[in-house]
Amino acid sequence: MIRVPLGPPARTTVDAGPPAPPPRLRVDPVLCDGIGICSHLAPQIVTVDTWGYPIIASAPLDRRSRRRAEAAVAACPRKALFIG
Amino acid sequence: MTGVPYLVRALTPPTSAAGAALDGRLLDGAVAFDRRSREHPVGGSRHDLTDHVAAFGPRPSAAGHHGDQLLEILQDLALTGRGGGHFPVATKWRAALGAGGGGTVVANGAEGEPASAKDATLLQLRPHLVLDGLQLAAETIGADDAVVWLHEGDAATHRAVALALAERRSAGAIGTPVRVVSGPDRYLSGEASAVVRALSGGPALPYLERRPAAIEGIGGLPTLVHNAETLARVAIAARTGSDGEPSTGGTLLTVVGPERRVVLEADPSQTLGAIITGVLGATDRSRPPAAVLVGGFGGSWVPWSVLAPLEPTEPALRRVGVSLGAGLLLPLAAGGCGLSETAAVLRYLAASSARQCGPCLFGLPAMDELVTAVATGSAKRSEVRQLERFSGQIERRGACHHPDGAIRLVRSAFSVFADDLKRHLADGPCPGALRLPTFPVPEVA
Repeated sequence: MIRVPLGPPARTTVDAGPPAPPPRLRVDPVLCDGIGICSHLAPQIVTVDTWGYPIIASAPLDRRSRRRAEAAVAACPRKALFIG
Repeated sequence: MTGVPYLVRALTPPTSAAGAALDGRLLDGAVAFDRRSREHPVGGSRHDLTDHVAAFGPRPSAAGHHGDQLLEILQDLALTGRGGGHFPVATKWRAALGAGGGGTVVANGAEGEPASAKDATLLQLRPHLVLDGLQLAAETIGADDAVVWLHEGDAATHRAVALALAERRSAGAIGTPVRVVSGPDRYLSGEASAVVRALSGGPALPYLERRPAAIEGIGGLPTLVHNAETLARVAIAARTGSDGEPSTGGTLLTVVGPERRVVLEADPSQTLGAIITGVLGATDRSRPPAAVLVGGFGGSWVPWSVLAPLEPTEPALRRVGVSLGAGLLLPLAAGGCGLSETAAVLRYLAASSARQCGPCLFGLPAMDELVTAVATGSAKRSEVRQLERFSGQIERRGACHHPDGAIRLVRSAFSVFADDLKRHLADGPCPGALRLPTFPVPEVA
């Protein structure tokens, strides 16, 4: 039986993988309190569910919707929205 | 134990004699538990470090280029996570290495599914396999922190892990120091992001991973959270190697029978039908259950005719659109009502919400109310449509997949028990619904 000294770990290169999906408006549901300002500022992108929490359209953002999404991100009192 | 050093040998090529002698099994037989406790397993014996080395040989090293070899083996075997997610292990480790390596590896023994006992079995009877897997993961990604994460109430598992760590210390085992940390005895304490959050100093509750924890976890460093069985399989794979073929090997299952739970290691040559009737006993063999809840409380109901011929592997279940999840199999009792069992389980899931995300916090109790109405025969057809609307609104909107599991449970119940559903809506509860549900669903304060 050979005792192999523990050396530094192997470093493996990884593929970049598939290209990242196009950015869209996203919500961190843990932070979100369902205040709903986003659905007023970006009604084309954000609707609300039965309980007042945002449902965000899955379509990628175009130039105009991106501006609205950014306004919603900036206005969220819980800092729950992000683009990614 | 004292004076017998725990040797680490080089990771050897696949066709080594030592590897060939192993059949890839973790356990040597079935182990029975009481329906609700994870203490006092009957039928299995614990491997101390001497038994462990006698049975499996010394732990191979994954240091240096051996880590690359181990990654190749895990990829060839297509080993996936056994906590429920079935994510490829090699992909997760490569993501951690791609992010620079280092960080933390966690053996997750906080079995969230209350009816499951496979991880408790492993940690109590084969703790050294899990600890070997933890060391191999740490060496491969260069982690300097290793954790065993447990439910605080699982006393027997705590004792077994502490004893195993003491045995390794006195045998002079080398490797990354291991900490044992525990979280509250809740359904979601074992959810991977909840483990990362707790070990980062927060509450043991899920969070939204903007980047996977394998890339950016505790302290911004790679964090691998692996189910105990996954790590035990890594420990076996490092010893057996691979012959280049994907092999799922055995699968640990917990079958919940009327009097006891049985943890067993199924091999792919057995059918799920034979495995389940084997546990239920001879009297039930002529009258198999109408359906089985597969995967966990947040799993899928599958009719017996679909399930029985399948082999006990994730790919086989994926082909019929379901997942083996955490390996839990809950057969519907003879004469029982699947809708009533579903209502009892859904009530538990709703009460087990982390209460962080609106769609889960408000949506699951709303669903619970409607499903209870269906089970007791007081619901109208419009309420079933309302349920489908709620499901559509809740699905994939939590930080974790807890609400998705609840929806899977209800949707599969309404599909598999469609005739019962019609009857409950038209004529009130079926005779089975007047009996108490039989699944071991815990009370939630």
